[in-house]
Amino acid sequence: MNLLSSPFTRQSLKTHDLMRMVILCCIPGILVQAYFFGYGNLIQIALAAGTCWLTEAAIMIMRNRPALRVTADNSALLTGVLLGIAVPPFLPWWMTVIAAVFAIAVVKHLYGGIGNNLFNPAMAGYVLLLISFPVAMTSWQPVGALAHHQLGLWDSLQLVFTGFSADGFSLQQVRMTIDGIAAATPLDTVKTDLHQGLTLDESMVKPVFGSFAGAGWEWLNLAFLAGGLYLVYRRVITWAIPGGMLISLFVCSAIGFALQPDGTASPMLHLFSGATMLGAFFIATDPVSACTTVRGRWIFGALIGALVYVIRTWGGYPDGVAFAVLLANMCVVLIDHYSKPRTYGHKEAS
Amino acid sequence: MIDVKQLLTTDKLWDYAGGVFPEYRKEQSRQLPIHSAWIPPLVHVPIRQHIGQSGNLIVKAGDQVLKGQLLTEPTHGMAVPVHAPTSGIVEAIGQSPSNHPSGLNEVSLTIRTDGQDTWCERKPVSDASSLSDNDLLQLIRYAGISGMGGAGFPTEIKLTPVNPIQLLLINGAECEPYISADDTLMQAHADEIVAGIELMVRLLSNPVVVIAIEADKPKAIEAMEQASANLEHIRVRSIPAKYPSGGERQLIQIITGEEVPSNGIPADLGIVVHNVGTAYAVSRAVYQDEPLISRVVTITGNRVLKPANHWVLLGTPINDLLHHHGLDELDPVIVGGPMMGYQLPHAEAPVIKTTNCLIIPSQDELPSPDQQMPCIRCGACAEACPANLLPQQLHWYALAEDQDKLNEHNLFDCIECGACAYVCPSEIPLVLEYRQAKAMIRTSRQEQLKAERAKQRFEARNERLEQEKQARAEKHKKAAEARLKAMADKQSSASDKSSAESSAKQSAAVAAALARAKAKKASQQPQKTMVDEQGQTVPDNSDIAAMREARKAEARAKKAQKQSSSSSSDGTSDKSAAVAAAVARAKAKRQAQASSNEPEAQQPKADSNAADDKAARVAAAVARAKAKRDAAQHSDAKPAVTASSEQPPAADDKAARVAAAVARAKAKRQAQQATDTDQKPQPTGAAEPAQDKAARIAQAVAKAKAKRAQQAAQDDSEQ
Repeated sequence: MNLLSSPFTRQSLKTHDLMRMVILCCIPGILVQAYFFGYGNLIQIALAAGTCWLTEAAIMIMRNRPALRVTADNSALLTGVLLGIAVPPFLPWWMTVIAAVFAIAVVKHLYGGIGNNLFNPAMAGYVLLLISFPVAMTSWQPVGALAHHQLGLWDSLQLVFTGFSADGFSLQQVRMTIDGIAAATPLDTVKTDLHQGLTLDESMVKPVFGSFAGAGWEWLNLAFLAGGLYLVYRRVITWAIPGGMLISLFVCSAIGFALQPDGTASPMLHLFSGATMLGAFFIATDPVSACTTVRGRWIFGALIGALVYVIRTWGGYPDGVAFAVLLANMCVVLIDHYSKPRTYGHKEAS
Repeated sequence: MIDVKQLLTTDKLWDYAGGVFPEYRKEQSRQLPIHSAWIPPLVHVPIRQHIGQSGNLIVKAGDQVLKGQLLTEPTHGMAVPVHAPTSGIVEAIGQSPSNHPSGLNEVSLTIRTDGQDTWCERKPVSDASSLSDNDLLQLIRYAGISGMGGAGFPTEIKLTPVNPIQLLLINGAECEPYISADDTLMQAHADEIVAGIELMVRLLSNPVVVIAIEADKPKAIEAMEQASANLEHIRVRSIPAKYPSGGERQLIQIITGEEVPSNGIPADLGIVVHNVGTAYAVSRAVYQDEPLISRVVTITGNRVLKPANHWVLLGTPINDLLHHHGLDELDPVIVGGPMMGYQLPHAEAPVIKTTNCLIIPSQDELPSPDQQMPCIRCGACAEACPANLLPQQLHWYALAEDQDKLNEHNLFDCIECGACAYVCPSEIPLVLEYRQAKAMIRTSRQEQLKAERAKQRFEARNERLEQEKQARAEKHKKAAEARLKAMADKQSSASDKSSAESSAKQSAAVAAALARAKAKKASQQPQKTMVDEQGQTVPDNSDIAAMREARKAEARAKKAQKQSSSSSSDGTSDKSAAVAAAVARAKAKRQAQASSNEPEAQQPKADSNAADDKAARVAAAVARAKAKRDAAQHSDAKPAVTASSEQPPAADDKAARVAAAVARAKAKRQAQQATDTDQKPQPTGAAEPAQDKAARIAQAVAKAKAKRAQQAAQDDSEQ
């Protein structure tokens, strides 16, 4: 036994446990996603996670580090899983691979590997695709019940890897709704409709909306919320970042909604559409690229919430979680510097 | 200041930042009874078992000692004595392994016990009110009591605080996992603990008392409440079980809501904290006259068959305890709790005053840390830190050895409780890093101080050498001039002596006045008297000799003056000053010896001779020249001197005084001679001018030397 220095006892959650726990808590969301959008997301997750893992292993070998031990921390897998969840289910496979390699090789390891990256790797990979391939990246499926084509696993695989389903339909054909209109996400729909002068109520009657937010999307968000709450309960993450982000998003959208009830999306729509819950509990909470002080995390979360609202309302993209997270990542050092706690016995925070 | 009265009634408890909830694992050992002590064949009593210095040994190898006999005498403030834990013979006094993580040896007494356990003579006090406060404090001091909670600070000092104490906080929190020594002590000896507290209350002028115990010790709380039921100024508080609530600063925050200032001590808030074990020891010392020779030690861990608390004689070797429990001495032993304890390098080390727990864990009980992983900045450490530090930032800065940033992030406020390392998912040994960083900063501070001092010394030396060089050049120049002038004077005095004399007198008066003014402006007293004279120079070999003498005196005076002008408060001794002082002293002595012979031999001869003013004039002229030169030099030298006045030698005064005395003596001598020649009639004839001259010079030298020696001797004796 080699007990070096006190403390000799340690709590049992290690880095790889934390990462695994986060991955496991994604499962409810992944299942709901698969239910509403087909098998595409499972393919994307497997593809992204596998690519991330292999990339990390390859880089570790290049850096003469023990590849198996390092990759065993599950952090690359987590990045891949989050990336796979975030991209549209039938994105061409090579795009996902590009994003995954970029996330691990450039965003993570060129900065020094785990613990040293400035940006959230999954979101940086996502944004790379969003900027490079905006059409493909906004081509979401209509939720299952609205879709004209119901795709099986084989169809999905073919679509992702060849661009055409087994029946020879292209992605754009697959995206047709039963109305024969290309599907748009609820956030996209609201944005376009409001832009075109429709009121919120007029827009919300469309079939893409569910009982209080986007059809299917509201369930997806609830599933991620449930997984996230469990993470908080298990103390894998703390309240600060998701709390700050959700409160901030709620406050911003409530103010906007109160000032202009017809012209902006409602708080409920903001909270339960798009990547809100995924972002709040699984993405913004990435410890490496987030703030480290307790106060700083509230500020960090609140900043993301406000940025999400700004991008969704006035920006060029229907959703803004990825951009908001990356922008907040840039502010981390500054926030940390100004949110140092007051040390015991000191009058002022130094 | 806190409202202490309210502490007796309020239900409010405060909370501190952070803290962790490790598995407590106290159930194994917390059952009564506390097993009584047994006598090991050998005990090793280290002479220092607390924070502070050791006392002076008062026994020697081979002495027979009785139980409770004083082994060391506390000679100074922070010293705490040690006692023989049982009767026996002092077998050796030497180095043996210490109960310290370093495992280094330390001075210990090895006593071969005789098994009789014979007490030395005891004088128990039944009524403490018959003792004066001072007697009581001396009793506590001589009982060898230091804090039993862990740090081991001398108790007597904490009972004589500078500030008035309003709150006596008794620490029974015992927040570290595994340890139950205080718990069982409170259960078994609550009355004696309260009696000890009452003695402390008396010494601290009746403060309010709060006994803080973590809520997981219901029996101890009950016992203490019963024991203090009739005492209105004592209150027992149950505090939530959280680590590190038993930390002094954290406990104060829990009970009062106040924070001890970063560089302060609890007494700054009118609070003093004592451990329950210390209160018990005080009570035993006073009412039983039993010094601190044993303590309760928790022996636990999965490898211990029957975890329990034992009374253990201080000095009992830990391997003896292990054998007593059927354990191998090769088993790793943790001293203290698993959060702040340390692994014992040598099992021969003894139990000392601060040893509250020995853990002998099984392999999977306290597993070795896995491979350390990179920090993922999860911030769990920041949430756990009870001092509200940012352990993760400290980790980065410690790795980078960035001392400025470490200080900026208040590294030295870290109490090394281990909460951060406990929660770290990457298993980074944070506390170890902080300890190393602290050591690094302390070392570099010391080195910085040393370098600064060396630099000052070097600069001062350079300056001195430069000044000496300049002074020498100046002197050579002046001497050459003086020689030239003397040649001219000789010729003129031969033609018209009286007129030359009167004109010389006038010019001398002017020069003297000028010199006086300059001297006054430029420098200190020693030189002043030198310039009050006048005279005429005469060409002769003797004037060179006089000049040389004068130059020596001047150099000494200058040195003295320089040193005396550079006075400062720093007490560190300067080597050069010490050397100068030594040289001056040596000279003075030598002269004293010489002068005891010279005056008698030469005085009659000098007296019998007709007065010759030549020598006096030479001396006076030299003095004048010197005064001028001094004035010039001082006005130059002074800024440089003040610039280097940081270097402060304490020995300076001595050297300066000696040198000044020498200079004064010379000046006086010259003054005397000058006035003599003025009053005396002109020489009747120049029949034997050469002999007369020589005689006068010899006489003057002898007189001066005598005076100088006398003065120097006087100065020496004053010092």
